[in-house]
Amino acid sequence: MKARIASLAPGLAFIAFWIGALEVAARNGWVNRVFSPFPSEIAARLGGVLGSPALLEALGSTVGLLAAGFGLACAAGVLLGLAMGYHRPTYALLEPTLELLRPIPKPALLPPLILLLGLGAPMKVAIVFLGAFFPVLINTIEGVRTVDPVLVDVARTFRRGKLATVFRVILPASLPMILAGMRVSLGLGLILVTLAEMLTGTHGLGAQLVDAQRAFRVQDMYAWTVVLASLGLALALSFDALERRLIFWSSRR
Amino acid sequence: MAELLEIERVAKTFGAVEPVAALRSVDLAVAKGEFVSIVGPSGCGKSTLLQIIAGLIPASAGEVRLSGRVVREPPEGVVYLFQQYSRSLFPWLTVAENVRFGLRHSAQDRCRELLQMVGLADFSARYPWELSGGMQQRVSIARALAAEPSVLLLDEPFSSVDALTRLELHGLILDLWGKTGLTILLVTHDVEEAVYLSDRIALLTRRPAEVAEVFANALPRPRRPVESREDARFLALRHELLTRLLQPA
Repeated sequence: MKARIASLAPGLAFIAFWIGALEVAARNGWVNRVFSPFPSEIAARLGGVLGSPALLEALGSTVGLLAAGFGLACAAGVLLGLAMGYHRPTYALLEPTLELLRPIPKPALLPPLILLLGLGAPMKVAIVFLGAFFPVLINTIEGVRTVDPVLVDVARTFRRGKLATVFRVILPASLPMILAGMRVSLGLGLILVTLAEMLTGTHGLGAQLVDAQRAFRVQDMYAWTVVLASLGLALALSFDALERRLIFWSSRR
Repeated sequence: MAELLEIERVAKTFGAVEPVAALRSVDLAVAKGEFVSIVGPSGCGKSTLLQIIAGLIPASAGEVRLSGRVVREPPEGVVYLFQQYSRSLFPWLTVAENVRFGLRHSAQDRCRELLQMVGLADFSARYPWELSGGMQQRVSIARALAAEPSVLLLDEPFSSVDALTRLELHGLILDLWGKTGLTILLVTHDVEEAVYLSDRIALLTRRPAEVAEVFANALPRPRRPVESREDARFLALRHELLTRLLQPA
């Protein structure tokens, strides 16, 4: 623990340094005082944001949409990935479609999705799903393909059926790759839900951000940015913890 | 004695474009309860032969019969023990859970009994990667026995552990074989190991392999790790096999 604090210290000191520099620059008018981030002012506004009912509403909305889209994407990506990685004909059937859809920058799908699903939650869940689905799918296929064939032969010599082999051997063995895909997906999901909220401007952290900007409540806008950054950090750390629990064995073999 | 396992003119060729022949034509019969070793020069296709017998890969020609039935898939009652114990154990499962993977029905008591047999009763809650190589191989032996096989196929299972551990594992395997009435087919490049353990030894030729000769082993049982290796019959058979193996092509 001591060593961990010691290794973090220089990085934290550097953050303190540039926040201090921003503060000095803003106070002395070296940067535009209205539009630039003003740390002490952001801190004050953040206090207001943290105490307001708007925070819980926005956070709940953003996290809820993200969880729904990301959860569906993980479930669908893993199931389809297992099928495509394990069963050649399924792969041959779906691979061209996949390669066609995958390179589309997902924000480009927002306009059609708005037309098809409207401005509400279904559209936002759909865009998160589409963004998060592909990394999980691709990594699951790759994970399944690179499972040590010895493990599969073990399942065969013990005469385990196909389903048992897939779920008791191939799935756990591919888990490190699958989780790496999910980590990418989680980041993409947060980006896309924020973007969708900014476009529709009704609920969530993205909407709060755009509202503040449009109303020239500039330091409020920065405060909401800090909230979003903290959410991103919290999600990443939670994911780390989950990963350590699920694949505790993967670095030790 | 009725032949439990019959290997008849088994051939294996790999690759369609530039075919490489691994096995030319192998014939061998193993009786119930026998301990037979297959030795041969390295790269002669010993492991390939064992995998065909296990039903893990198909033969290009010829057939393997277990109790008269042709083997196409891994048959019931046959378990293949992999050389690479560290790759064949599931790292996300504990020792006990790995053993339970071999059980046909989840019998808790049976698992404990098996771990006791291989001397790992105190390690059931550990993970395979927390154990030494020899202990890991004991876990895979326990897992293999959990499936209650009548035939155990051993693919150089003692080759990647240190010399003393190897002697301990030899003792364990002979002990289990004596207790269970298993039929064991062992592939090894270690002539001493083959002579020490088996009833008969099949010597393969270079690739593409055939059975050059099958040697009956006159070394009396029970085998003792030190004395048996000094027995004149042990030395004579070792001499014969090594000489044949070292003959230039």
